[in-house]
Amino acid sequence: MKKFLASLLIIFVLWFAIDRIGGMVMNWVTWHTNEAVSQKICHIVSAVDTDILLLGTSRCESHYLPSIIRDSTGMSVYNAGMSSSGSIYFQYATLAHVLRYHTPKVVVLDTGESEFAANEDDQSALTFYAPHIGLYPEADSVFYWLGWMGRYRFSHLYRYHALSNVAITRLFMSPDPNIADGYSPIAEPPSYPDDLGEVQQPLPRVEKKIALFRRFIRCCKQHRIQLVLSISPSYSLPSPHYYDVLKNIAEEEQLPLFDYDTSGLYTDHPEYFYDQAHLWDKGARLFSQRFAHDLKAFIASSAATANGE
Amino acid sequence: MLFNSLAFLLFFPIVCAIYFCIPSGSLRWRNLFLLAASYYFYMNWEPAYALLLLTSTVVTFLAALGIAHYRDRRKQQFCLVASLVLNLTILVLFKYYNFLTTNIEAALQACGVGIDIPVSKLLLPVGISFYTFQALGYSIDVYRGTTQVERNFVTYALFVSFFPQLVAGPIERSNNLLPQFRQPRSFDYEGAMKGLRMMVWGYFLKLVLADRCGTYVDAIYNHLEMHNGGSYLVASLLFPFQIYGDFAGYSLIAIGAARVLGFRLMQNFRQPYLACSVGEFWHRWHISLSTWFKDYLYIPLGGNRVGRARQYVNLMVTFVVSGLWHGANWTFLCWGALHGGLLCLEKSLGIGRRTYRGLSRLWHWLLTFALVCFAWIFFRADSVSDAFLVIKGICLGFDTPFLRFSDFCIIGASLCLLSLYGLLQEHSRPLRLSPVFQHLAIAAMIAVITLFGVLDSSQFIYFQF
Repeated sequence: MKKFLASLLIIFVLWFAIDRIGGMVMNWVTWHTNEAVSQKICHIVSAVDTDILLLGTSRCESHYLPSIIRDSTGMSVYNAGMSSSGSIYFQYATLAHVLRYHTPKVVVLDTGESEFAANEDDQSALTFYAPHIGLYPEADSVFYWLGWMGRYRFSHLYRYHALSNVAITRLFMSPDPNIADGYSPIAEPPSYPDDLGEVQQPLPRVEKKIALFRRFIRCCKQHRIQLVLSISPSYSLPSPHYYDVLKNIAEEEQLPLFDYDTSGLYTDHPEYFYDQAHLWDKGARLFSQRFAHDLKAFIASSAATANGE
Repeated sequence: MLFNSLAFLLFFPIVCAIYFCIPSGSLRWRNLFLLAASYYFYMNWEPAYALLLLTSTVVTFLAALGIAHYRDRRKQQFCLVASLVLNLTILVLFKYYNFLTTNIEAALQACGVGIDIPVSKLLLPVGISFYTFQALGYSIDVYRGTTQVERNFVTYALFVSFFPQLVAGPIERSNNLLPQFRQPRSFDYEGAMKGLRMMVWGYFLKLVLADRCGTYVDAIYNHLEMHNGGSYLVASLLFPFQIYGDFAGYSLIAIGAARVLGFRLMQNFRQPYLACSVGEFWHRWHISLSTWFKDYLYIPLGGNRVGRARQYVNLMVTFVVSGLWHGANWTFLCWGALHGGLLCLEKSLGIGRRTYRGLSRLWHWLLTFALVCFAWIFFRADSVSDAFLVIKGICLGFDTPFLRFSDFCIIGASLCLLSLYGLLQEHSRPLRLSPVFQHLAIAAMIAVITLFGVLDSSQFIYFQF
């Protein structure tokens, strides 16, 4: 039995060494790969320097063209939207990472009711930030919040497991030329969505997520960042009360909320949509012009209010 | 409790530590502890269903006592039949009820009779087919006199519920496992290390190979309407490795875990995809189930001792039942029938009896692999019509497949490792590494699993059976 325990100890020591060395190798891979998600995350944790920061899920990533918004507002823009990141956990970690070294003037959070819904899967995107654990305590706090920190402290290799295969295989490939300033266009679909579906009813909400959303808002206020909430269009029929939680919080906190979804923007144009939730590039360009116009007007009116005009 | 869950990674070392802290002379306490641990393991999923496990245990235990008690063959037969009927009734009620009623309804509707039979909302108890067959095997063995009746209930209950092989096999034989619970065991270093190596290799097969293949296969098979024949072909070529990695992985973890505790379970897989005939495939795939069906169904039906036509009927019956054992769906029945048909064909052509060498061996290996892959299409598809859609797509709608290069790199590397391991095992040339390298290999394998494994505690496919 003693021999077996000694063997287990030797295996553990060897594993520990492999894990730590492998962790260092994977860290290098993460920073040098041409894989889109890893590249974007590395950019977010180290190189965002724009006036406007766009946050959200795949809907943000493929709906807002930074170039169009920049041309309209005259402010630099980066789209930090990330596919499969549909929860406030990810958005909070993104904001925290950026605030470590840069304070944008405006943060646009493309959000929705699902932001507060009970869905364990939407936490999985947070693992994209696991390679950067230890960089900034405020960003790490989300991992503690979810009770995930133990596993990442135990194994450094585990921090990379979400993207390890793609990060390694794309190490020697060229980066995706279509991605610009974080915007990832969606190609035209073979067929457009043709059914608006049933009227969407509000989803059960998770108080923990609402609490983190409020913390997100406080964080923006502390850093004097103008937070703008936006709900980009979808090819669906949300009920008039679908976004009540979000609208109530926006009203309480006196935040601007641009709701393009309840108003049914583009529901008469299925040819702009890739699927029910996403605009393809053509729709995104049109929407970005509309959004840029609204944002510009809001910024101008805010500035006028601040100047006492 | 799943083998690939954090709960099991805590549970197993704790069980081992307590088990070996109990003096090896205290066999009764050791068995009692293992029994409690096994029931805890099972009850982690759905506590109430442990009652089914207990019922099956009690019924077969009493039936075996009855068989041993009576000298009259008819009374012995009664005990055996009672055990068979009670156990199979439970199995049918929980596993086949909805399948039967749906098909009866459809058949009656076709005859113009519209009836509405209530649907069962009971969950399928995990591992019910496995432990029921193991317990029934014991009853039959006692009836045949090939195994000694067990009079200690704890020992017998442990035989039925031994946690490493409780939910997905191997389906153990009473004359292999039961005697091991009767003998005092001391810790065996070599055995424990071998068990540990098996467990790590099993985890690799499940988490790196099977689950990585599964992400692609599920993406295609769950959305057939969105993909073309090329993708169907790639998915159908990957599924055999998914199911092998999943099930052989589970079996290895089970055999390894038992080995660490000092028990030897039977081998369940022996490089099945290196088979050169379908018959050989079944000597290598799910060995514990195929030998169970051979011993308790095929041979009692007459086996090979009857005329040729009857042999074919026996084979077909055995494989159709084997297909149905896997699940209450026509797809499994088709899969079983397909294998039965192929075996009949091989038997009629005398294929399984020859030894092939060189190019002939390569040709037979390729043909067998293609046939087995073809049959797996029925096994994986959600319905028979889906299976035909896949086959039609592969034959007529072939186009550039949807590929995920990053996943395929890992799958390719895993398959290379698996092939190397398989070929070494096949030619009885196990790797002889020094202890340091053995330790290093285990540590490296754990690191590979940590980095490349799909660590979302997905279920083992065979749990549903």
